[in-house]
Amino acid sequence: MGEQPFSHQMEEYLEAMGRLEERNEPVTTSALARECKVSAPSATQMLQKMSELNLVDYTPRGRVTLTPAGRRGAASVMRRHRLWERFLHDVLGLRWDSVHEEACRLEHATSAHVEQQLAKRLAEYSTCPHGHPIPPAGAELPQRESGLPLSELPAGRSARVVWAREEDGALLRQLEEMGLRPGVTVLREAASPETGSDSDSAAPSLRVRVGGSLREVNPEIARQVLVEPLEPVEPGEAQSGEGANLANLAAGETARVSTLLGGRSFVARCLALGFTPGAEVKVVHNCGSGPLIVEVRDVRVALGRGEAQKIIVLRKG
Amino acid sequence: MEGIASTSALNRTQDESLVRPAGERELTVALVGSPNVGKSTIFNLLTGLSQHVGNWPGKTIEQKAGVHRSAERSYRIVDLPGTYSLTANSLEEQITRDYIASQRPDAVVVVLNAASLERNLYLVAEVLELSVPVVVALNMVDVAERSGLRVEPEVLEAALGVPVVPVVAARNQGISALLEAIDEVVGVAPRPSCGRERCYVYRPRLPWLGEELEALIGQVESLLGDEMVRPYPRRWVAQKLLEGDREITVRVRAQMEQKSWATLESLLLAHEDAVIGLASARYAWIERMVRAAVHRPRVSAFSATERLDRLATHPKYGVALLLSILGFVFWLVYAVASPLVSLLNLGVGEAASLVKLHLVGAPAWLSSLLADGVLGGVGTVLSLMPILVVFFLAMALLEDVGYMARVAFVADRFMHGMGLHGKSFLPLVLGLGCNVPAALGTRIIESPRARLMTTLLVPLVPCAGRLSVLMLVAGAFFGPSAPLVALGIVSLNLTILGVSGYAVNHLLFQGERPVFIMELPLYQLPNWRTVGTVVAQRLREFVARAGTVILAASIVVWALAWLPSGTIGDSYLALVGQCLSPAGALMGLDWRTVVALLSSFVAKENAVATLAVLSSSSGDAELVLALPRMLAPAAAIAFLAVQTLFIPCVATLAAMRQETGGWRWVSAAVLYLFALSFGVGIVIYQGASLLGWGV
Repeated sequence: MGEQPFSHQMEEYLEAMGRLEERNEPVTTSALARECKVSAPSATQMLQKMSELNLVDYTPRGRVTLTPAGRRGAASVMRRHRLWERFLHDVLGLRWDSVHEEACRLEHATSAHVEQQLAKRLAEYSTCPHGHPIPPAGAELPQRESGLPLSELPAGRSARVVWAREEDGALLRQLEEMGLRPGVTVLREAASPETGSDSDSAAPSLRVRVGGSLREVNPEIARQVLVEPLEPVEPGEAQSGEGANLANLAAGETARVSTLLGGRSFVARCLALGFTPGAEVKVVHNCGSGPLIVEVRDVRVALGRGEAQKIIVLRKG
Repeated sequence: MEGIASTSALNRTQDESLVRPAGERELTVALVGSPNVGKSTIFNLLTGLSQHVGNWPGKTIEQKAGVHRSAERSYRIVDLPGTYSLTANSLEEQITRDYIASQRPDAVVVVLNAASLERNLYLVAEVLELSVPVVVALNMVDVAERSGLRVEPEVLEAALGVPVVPVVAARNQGISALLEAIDEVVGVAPRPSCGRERCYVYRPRLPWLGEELEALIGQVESLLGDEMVRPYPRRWVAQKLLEGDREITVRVRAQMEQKSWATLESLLLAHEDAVIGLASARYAWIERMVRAAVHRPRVSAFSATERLDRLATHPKYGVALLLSILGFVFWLVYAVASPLVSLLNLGVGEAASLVKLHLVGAPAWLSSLLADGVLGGVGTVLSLMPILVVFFLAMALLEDVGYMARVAFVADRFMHGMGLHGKSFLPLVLGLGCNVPAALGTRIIESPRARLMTTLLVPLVPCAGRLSVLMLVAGAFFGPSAPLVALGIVSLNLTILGVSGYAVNHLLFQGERPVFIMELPLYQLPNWRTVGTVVAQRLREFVARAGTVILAASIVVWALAWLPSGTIGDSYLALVGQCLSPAGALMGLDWRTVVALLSSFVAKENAVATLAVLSSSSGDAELVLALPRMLAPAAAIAFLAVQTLFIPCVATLAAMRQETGGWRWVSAAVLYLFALSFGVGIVIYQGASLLGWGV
C-alpha cells in the first residue's frame, strides 16, 4: 500500500531474500550474490542502498534481515512472480520448467491493476505450479516452508510432494520426467543391498515409487523436493525407521494402511476391499508362511503373502 | 465461488427425469451386490423356479434372470454377477456396469450385508454414479445385530437419498417392502398409498469427494464430448479415467482428437495417483455416513466366526478338517450315490433288453442302436446324476455356510506353486471321484484364468472309473504287489498333473500367479432353499448342455463299433485301432488293447468290457486269466499308465466344454493328453525293454 516502486534490480534482491527465508536458509551477502548471480561486492553495494531505504537491517559481514517494509516488498514480488507462473502454465499452457524465467521478466513490469486481474482469473490456485504458496495481496511473507526433503523420508513411508525448492529449469525437467510434481504421493523404498555396496563412493540413489513405477532418484535432486509425510515422522526415525508391510505384522497387531504397491488392477482391487490409506487393519492370522487373514472395515480378508507384502502399513503403538 | 459451489451441488443430485414412466409394462430390475451378501437368496425368493440360467453373450459367466409377478404387475429380475466395485478388473465388474449403463433397467437393487456395511456401501457409491434409480436392500440385519451392530435404515436413507429397506432374506422378511420401494422409485406406485411412514421425492445424493477431487473431476469432464462417454454419465467416465480404467481410457482415446487427447492425457498423468484419492474419498464419505447410521454397543463383530476360524484356518488342524470333510463327501458318494448308480444301471439294462425283445422283428442295427447307442448314452447321463447331486450339494452347502473361502485359504499353500488359486483345490480333489463334477465345480473360482487352467487340468486327476480299471488290470498281472503298482501309477499321474500345471502356467500365462485376496465371510447356517435351487439348476444345466453331447457321442461311438458288420472285432473302431497299432507296438500293445483304450472314451469302465469282448472271455474272472496272455508285464504297466492319462470320457469333455465356453480349449486338452499318454507309455515300455525287464 503506497510503497514506492522499486527498481528491477532491487526487486530481484527482495525476491531472493524472500526465497531464502522461505527455505529457512541464512540470508547472507554471499547467499544473495549466489541467488542473484552477481559478485559479492555488488551485492554489498546493493544491500547498503537498500539499508538506506530502510528495507533491510544490514551490518557488513553479518546476517541480513528484512525490515517490515522489506518483507512486504519481497512478498509483493513473489506474489507477482507466482501469479505469472500460474498464468503462463495453466492459461497459456507453457511447460512447467520454462515458466520461471518468463515470470522473472514479467514480474517487474506488472502494474497493480494487472496483478489484480491475474489474481481474479487465478482465484482457484493457492500455489505456483511448483507448489510454492502465492502470498496474499499486502501480506508480509509467505509462511516458511514446512515438510521434509525427500532425501530424509524414511524408507517404507509415503508422503505427498509439496514443492520443488529450486525453480531451475534443468531440475524441474528431471522432476517432471520422474513424475515428481506437487500433489503426487510417493513411497520411499528401502535401498536394495546391491546398489548400496558397489557404489559407495557416490551416495547411492534413492528408490522411490511414484504412481505405479519405481524411480531411482539422485540424492541431490531428492534434497530439492519437499514432501509432507502422510504420517508424522518421529525424530531420528530417518535412519532407523523401517516401514512394515502387512506380512511383517504378527497376529493381533493393528496398523494403518500407508500405501499400496503393485499394478493398477491389484491396487484397485485392494481399494475396493477397503484397504485405503489410513484405514485400520488388524492381523488375525499370520503364521510366518502361507496366506494371512486380516480384518479391515469389519470384514475378514484372506490374502496371499505376496499380496500382503504390497500393502505398506504403519504399526500402531 | 459461492455460485459455483451451489451449481455443482445441484448437478450432483440426479435428475428426477431419469425415472422413466412405467405404465402396465413389465419392469426390469437388476440385482447388484458383492459376494456373500445374500443376493442369490433374494433372487431366489423373488423368482422361485421361473429362473432362466444362461451365459452372458460371449462370456463364461452365468446370467440369471427370472420373473416375479405381483397382483399389479410383473418384474423381470436380472441377477448381475457378484462384484465389489465397478472398475473393469474382472469380467463380473465389466458385465455389471455395461448392463446398468446400456440396458438402463427400471431400477437397480443394491444388496448390502449389514454386518459389513462400510465395504458394501462402496458399491452403492459407485452404482449411484451411473444415474439409475437405486433401491438399497439392507440384508442380514439379524446377523449384524447378533454381532453387535445396529444399523438405522432411516439415517442411511436420509444420507443416500434412496430408499433403504431392511431385509432378512434367509427368513423371507422384507421382500414385499423391497418391491414397494421399487415401485416407488420407478414411479408406478402413487406415493400417498405407499403405506410406509416415509414417502419422499426420489432424489439420490452422489458421493461428495472433497473440493480438490471434485474440481479435478470437473476439469476432466470439461474435456469430454457427449459422444465419447455414451452410454455412461460424464462424471462417471471422468472418475474412471482418473482411476486409470483401461477399458474406458481406450474407448475415450479412440473417440478423441489427437490434440485434446494430449491435453487430457497430461492431466491424467499429473494425477496418476488419483485412483487412491478417489477410493479414499469414497470411503471417507461412507465413514461419515456409517458413523451416523451404525451403533456399536460391542466391539468385536466376529465372535463365533473367530472361534470357528481358529480351527478351520489353522495350518495343521485346518488341513485335517478339510480332509475329513472331503472324506465324508466321498463316503457319501460310495454309501448313497453308488447303490443308486447300480440301480439305475440295472434299470437301463432292463430297458435295453426290453427294447431288444420288442424289436426282434426289426433289423438288428436298429435294436442295437436303440439298446446300446441311445440307451447307453442315456444310461451314462443318468448314472452320473446321483454322483453329481452329492457333489453339487456338498459344494453348494460349503459355499453357503461360508466354508468354501476357508478351503481356498488352507489349500492356497499347495496350489500356488502351480499358479493356481486355493479355490482350485476342491474341484481337483473331487476329480478323484469323477471328473465331470470336478470340471463343473471349477465355476467357484472367480479368476477366469485360474478357472480355465483348473478345468484343463481336471482330466489328469485319476477318477474312480479309471482307478477301477487300474485295480482290475494291475491285479490280473501283479497279484499281491498290485497295490504298489497302482500306487506308483497314481503318483506318476499326480506328478504329471503338477508338472503340467506348472508348464501350462508358464507357457500360456507367463508364470503369472493369480492374485489371492478374498473375503472370508461370516459363517452362517445353511439356507436350504438357496442350496436346493443351486443344485436343481446345475443338474438341469448339465442335462441340457452336457447330456446332449454325451448322447450324441455315445451314438457315434456305437456306430463306429457296430459298422459295418455288427461285431466290434472288424468294426471301424477296430480299423482305427489297427491304424494306431504301430504306435501301440511301441508300447508293447496289440490292436485289441488300443481299441479298448479308444472305447474308454464313452466311459472309462468300458475299457474292461471291450477287453473282455476282444479276448473272447465272458466276465471279469475269465478276463483276469486272459490278460497275462495278451500282454507282457512291461506292456501292462505301459497300458495302465496310458489309460489313466488318456483322453477323458466324453462326459468330462462335455462338462469341460460347458465351462470353457467352446471346443477350442477342449481340443487342445485332447491333443495334449493323447500325445502325453502315448509318450509316457512309449517311454515306460522302451525303457523296460532297454533294461531287459518284463518284455
